[in-house]
Amino acid sequence: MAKILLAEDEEFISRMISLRLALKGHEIDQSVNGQEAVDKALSGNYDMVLMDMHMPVMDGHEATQILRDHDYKGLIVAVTASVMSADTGKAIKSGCDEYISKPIGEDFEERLETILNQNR
Amino acid sequence: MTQFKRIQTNRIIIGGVLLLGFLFSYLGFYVALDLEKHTLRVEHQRITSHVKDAIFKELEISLGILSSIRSLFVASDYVSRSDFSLFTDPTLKAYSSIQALEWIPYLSEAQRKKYEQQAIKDGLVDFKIRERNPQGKMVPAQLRKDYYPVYYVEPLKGNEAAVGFDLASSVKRQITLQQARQSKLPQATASITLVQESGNQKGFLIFQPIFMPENDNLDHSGDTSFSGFALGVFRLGDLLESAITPIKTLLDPLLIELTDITDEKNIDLLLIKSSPLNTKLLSDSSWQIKQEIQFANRTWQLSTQATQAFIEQHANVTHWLVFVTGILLTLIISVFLHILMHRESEIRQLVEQRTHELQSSKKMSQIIVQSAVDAIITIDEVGIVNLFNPSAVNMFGYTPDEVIGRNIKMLMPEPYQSEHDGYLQHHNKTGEKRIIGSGREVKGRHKNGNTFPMNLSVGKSQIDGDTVYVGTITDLTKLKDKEREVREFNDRFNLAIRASGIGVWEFNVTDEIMTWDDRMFQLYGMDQSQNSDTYKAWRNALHPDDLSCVEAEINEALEGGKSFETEFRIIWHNAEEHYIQASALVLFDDEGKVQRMIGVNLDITERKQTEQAMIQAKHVAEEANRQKSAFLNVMSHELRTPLTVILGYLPLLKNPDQTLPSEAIIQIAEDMDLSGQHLMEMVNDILDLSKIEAGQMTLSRENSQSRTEISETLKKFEHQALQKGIQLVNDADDFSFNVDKRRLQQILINLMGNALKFTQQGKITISANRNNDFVTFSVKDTGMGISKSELPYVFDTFRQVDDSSTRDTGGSGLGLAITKRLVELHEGSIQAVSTLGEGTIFTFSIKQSGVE
Repeated sequence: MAKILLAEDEEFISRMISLRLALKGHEIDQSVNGQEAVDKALSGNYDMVLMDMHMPVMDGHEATQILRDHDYKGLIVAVTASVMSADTGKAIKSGCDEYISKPIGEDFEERLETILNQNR
Repeated sequence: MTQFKRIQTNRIIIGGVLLLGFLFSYLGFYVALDLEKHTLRVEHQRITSHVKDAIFKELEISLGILSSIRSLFVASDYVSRSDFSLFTDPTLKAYSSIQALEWIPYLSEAQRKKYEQQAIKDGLVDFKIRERNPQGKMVPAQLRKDYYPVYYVEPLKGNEAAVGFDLASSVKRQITLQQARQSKLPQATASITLVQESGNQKGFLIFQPIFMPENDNLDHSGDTSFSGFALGVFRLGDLLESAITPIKTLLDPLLIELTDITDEKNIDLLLIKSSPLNTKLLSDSSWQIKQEIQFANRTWQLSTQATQAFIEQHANVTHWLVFVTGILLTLIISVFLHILMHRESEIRQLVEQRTHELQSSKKMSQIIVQSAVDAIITIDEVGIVNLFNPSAVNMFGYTPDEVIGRNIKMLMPEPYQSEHDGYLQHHNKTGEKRIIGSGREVKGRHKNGNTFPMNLSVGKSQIDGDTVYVGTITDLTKLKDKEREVREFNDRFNLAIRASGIGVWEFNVTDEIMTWDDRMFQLYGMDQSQNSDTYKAWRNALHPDDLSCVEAEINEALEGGKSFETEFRIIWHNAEEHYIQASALVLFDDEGKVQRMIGVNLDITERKQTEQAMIQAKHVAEEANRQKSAFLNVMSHELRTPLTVILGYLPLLKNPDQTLPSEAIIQIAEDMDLSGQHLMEMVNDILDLSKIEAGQMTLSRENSQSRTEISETLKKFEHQALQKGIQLVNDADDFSFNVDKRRLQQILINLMGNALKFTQQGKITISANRNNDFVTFSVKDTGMGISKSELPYVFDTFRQVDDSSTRDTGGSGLGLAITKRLVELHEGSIQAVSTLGEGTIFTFSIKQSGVE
């Protein structure tokens, strides 16, 4: 059971992901933009940040970069809807550890579990 | 070819000299080497003889010593042991090669006892006459008729073993004794190994028989006077050493062998003295010299063999000197010969070259005259032609035969013909020149009677005392034609310039005066009479922004940096802006100093405008393309969002093991429903937009009632408005008009939807009125309003949706864009007015058509 911060601006998507993860017993915290995610991640104690790359106010790239600049050591997984590999590359470059592309599949929980185990 | 042969011959000669030289050097080398060898051999021979003599002398001395002992015995009645010792002592001291000197008396049986007793009396306690038994041991001698015992021995020390030994007991010795006694001469033995010596030195014995004077009667055998032998034992090594000491260094490089060859069947090597220098022996037998030494009935052979050191000691470089000198001499002679031959060949070549040059010079003069483009004619001092070249034939039409020998006047038209004689005479008398030394344009007369322009220059010269005038004539007919052509071309060129609209100017750099042609004034929109200072006028006309740039280019061109090619703007008096294309040439004087510029101007305003329009169009197209890409990017994101929600929930519903609480299922169903609807809306919007853009949307107008349409719209938002507590007002005039009802609803729903979305409290009013051909609707809210900067773009599809990741509003953002297009489809227009915090009013008019 992990404590996860979900940064996602789309209300419905946020709700859907939260529900799926909650059903697996994870504890979910939500933020609706990059700025909020940075604030929460730096003050909270999360096992993982699920970061949407495409958000208003501050996008996921910038948020990740700021977190890493603040020496944030936690796991950041990019959730990107972009089909272009350049974007996933950009996410990794910004400081994300892994990436998962939207729409998320049936194996979403499993993948997160794997990533968590690898970095635990 | 001869040159080549000569070089070949020279090479053979030099080669021959070299070959002979090398051959002689080689021969000289061998002759010298032979001579040196011969000298060496002679030297070898000399040294060998020297050694032989020295050895022989030593032997002579040995014989002499024994002879002196004989004399002692002959002269004395009785020689006691001490007498013998006294007598021999100095000799033994002087000659180291003597091992022993002995007295061997000849005794009869009867005398044996007496002598043994005498010896014991002399102090030799154990004295006995002895012999060797078959086992080699010394035992007392057997009784026999006579004895030869070693009786006196000096020095005794070291020779004790010999004392008393009967020499007659040894058969070998007995032979020697008998030979000596019979011959009465000293007799030497073959070599013996000296037992006394520690080394391997060999020695030999010499027996000197002693005969007493006649009165002696001790003899038994008939030799009445024979009394015994004086015996010398000599060490061969020491003898040789003593012999050669004075010439030792000479012998160092030689191997010396001494052999006893008396008995040919039994050649006995007496001693070998090898060279102390340790160098190789010369195996060649010619380096071994043998000489015989004969003494006391024996024959010895002395052999010396030279070693390498011998040759080195007597080394001589004469043969090499001969060889090197020979080679050097050969080389010097060859080089000298080569230089000599080369010199000769050079001189011969020079002579040939000079001859050839002279010939070609003569030929060249002929060729020049024959092939000259100009006509060349020579005359004598009275005007008679004596040379008429082919160009002259061409020019005048006469053959040389027709002219040579006749007066030059025949080639001249009047008045030159009549004046020529006088002129020539005048010149011959006074030396005054008119044409000589310079050219002049005159007229010539062709055979056919035509005259033609020509340039004549005349040179004067003397050949063997006779005056010769050489005339060179250029036909100017073609040149004159060219001049006319240039003039005509100039005229045509000027015409072309005038027709093309190009203005020509000239600028004198030194006094800054600019001259314009008429066209220039037209190009600058100026009156020629009012602008005398055109340079100033030009500067004034130049666009202020272009002035410095153009001046810089002019300066660069004047400094010779580059050609002047530029474009600039000018402003006419009536404020019209014109583009001028200008180019110019800079002209320099003979000293390379800038003199003036000549240039042209052309009005290119029209072309410039076209260019700018095209650039603008390109920018617009590029911007549109960029916006389209941005739009697609955003749209794809927007479409994905609801899809993500739907696809994300599905696994929860599909999984039979998953038990979901009922509220969750309701939430899921609601989210999926809304996402589906949103997706549907967006797809519809996109379809509408693309339909309109493709011009595929057609209107189907029908008669409608204004208030009814608005009521219908408002009804759709009643529920939502009630929830938010917002009042909806239908403030429309009631009238009928022709409209596509479905599209009108779409427009109104869009505007209402937006209004409701951005309004939190207050009311939303829809009004409508008719004005001539147009029907005007407006939707007014009391919402948050739109900022001034955003307002101009609210209808713009692509602008409104930016493609950055941070957007503030959701939705496709296509609603207003579609609305605007639908209004325009109705031949109307739409505007928005807004005050931040107070509200927004959207107003649109559509043209009504087909109204009864």
